[in-house]
Amino acid sequence: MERKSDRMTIVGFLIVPVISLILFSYYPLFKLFQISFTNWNGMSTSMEYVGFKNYLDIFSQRELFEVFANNMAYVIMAVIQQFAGLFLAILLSSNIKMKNTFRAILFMPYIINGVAVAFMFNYMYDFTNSPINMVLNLMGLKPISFFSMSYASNFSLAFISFWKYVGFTMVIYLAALQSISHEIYEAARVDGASFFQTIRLITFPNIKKVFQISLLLSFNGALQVYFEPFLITKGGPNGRTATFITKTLNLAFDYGKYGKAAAMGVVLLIIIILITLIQKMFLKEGGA
Amino acid sequence: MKKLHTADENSTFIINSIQGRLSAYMILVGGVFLVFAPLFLLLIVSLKGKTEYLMNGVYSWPENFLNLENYITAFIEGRFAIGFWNTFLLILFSVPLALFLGTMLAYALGRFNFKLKGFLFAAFLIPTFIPGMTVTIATFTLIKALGLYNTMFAGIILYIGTDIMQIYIFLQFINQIPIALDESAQIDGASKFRIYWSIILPQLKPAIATTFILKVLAIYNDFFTPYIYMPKVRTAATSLNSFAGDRMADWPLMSSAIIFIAIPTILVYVFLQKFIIGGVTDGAVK
Repeated sequence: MERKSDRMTIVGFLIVPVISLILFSYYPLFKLFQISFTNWNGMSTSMEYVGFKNYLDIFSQRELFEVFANNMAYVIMAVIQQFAGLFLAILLSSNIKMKNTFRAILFMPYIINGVAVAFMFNYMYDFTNSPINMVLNLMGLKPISFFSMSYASNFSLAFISFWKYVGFTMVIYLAALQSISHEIYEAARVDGASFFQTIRLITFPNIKKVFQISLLLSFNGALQVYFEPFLITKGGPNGRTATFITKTLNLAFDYGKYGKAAAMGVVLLIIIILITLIQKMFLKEGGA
Repeated sequence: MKKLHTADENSTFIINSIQGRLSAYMILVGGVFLVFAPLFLLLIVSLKGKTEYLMNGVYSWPENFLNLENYITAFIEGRFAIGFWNTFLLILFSVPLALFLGTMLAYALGRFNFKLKGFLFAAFLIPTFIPGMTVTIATFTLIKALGLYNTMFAGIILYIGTDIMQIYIFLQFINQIPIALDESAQIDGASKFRIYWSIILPQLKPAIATTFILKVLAIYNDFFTPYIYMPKVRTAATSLNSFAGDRMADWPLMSSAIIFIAIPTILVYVFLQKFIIGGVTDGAVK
């Protein structure tokens, strides 16, 4: 009797979250694989299976590698962001004043609306009368074209997410640094270790795990980036700033090539899972 | 003689040299400058008239600090009132629901032992490794098939999904509540739901408050969900995007529109700063 009512309670408490989990997390995953083997155009009620055609198409086009090259700019910035965030966190864990004020201000961009941030930087980067180019002009320098045919355009875009997220990274490392026991540092200090020695010999080994996880997350973010190019450059000029995801969205929503877009989704999914697994292996090795 | 700085409880690292401390401050002040400079420039540009901006450019004080003309134009032409209202409705319907479902789930997982418990945990954990952007195409077809496309329900139903972070945070609190409380309530004849409602839920208040504020910020700032799944339902974030359309070159007007959309979360942050940072680290570190 007792057990039966318990079971009812459990089912009652779990049913809605579980249904929503199945419907919005697992079903789309299954569906994604299914669509990737069809030539569905997003409209018609029927879809034809075309085997691996979509996958073969993707890998036979140079475009895929070009968008990946663009994504690399974000990956590089993501790595820089890890070190910058860690460095700021170290500074904010040292014996300086106004730590909380610095922390609060540096974290602020994280909570500002992303669309607002993207357009704000679009203004900062504007060719003709942007604040940056006006200063360059005053100094007698040539204006910079932030969104040109050069690969550097991707860095202009990637810097926007750096600006927005470096404070977040910093806060994560601050928490990680605070979890290291004080006694170790005290001991090092007694032994006369310098600031940089302390970082190298105590801090780095102790936050290795957080560092790897944080790096992995920002890697994944960099591979899935779409926001800034989608809003500002629309992937242009001429595909120069297209990323994997903007390309995918483009294929589906502008060209009705859902099958191919889904196949691209699967490819990215597999790449990210592979990176995660490789990282997990490294983590195990490092932890042992 | 060199003055040695002693460690206080807040500082793990001790920088002794004056040059070292000076460079630390310079780097941090540089960072603060990088955060504020673009926002500050937007603010002064937003207060300038069109001709004034053409004549004086960015780097001059606005002639009239109370020139709110751009803000009024942006607010009306950008139809921000509707955007803010829809965002408010999305938050109003999805956040309480999400909190209910999340706390109930955590209660069931934290207080009962049943066969599929480990399996369920894994089932909720695995999707965090599925990169959200990759499955967009499939989620889109699902939303369409359910007839939710272009309705507010698309947003609500996607926002109420429980994530594992939330469950972990709630579980930590639940595990700290003595089980004797549950038992004595049960002896008094309270139902399981009653126990959840009057014993567990009140104890979860701090975790609920944190999750609440983070969810609100996330929904307010989300552009992707409304843009893809309900383009006809304007939200704060998407109305800024559609406003930008052909006005991109009119920077005084654009600046005020950007500030309009940016200001609400900044204000929330000013008051709840410690709380928000605490919530973000709790969720990420654990």
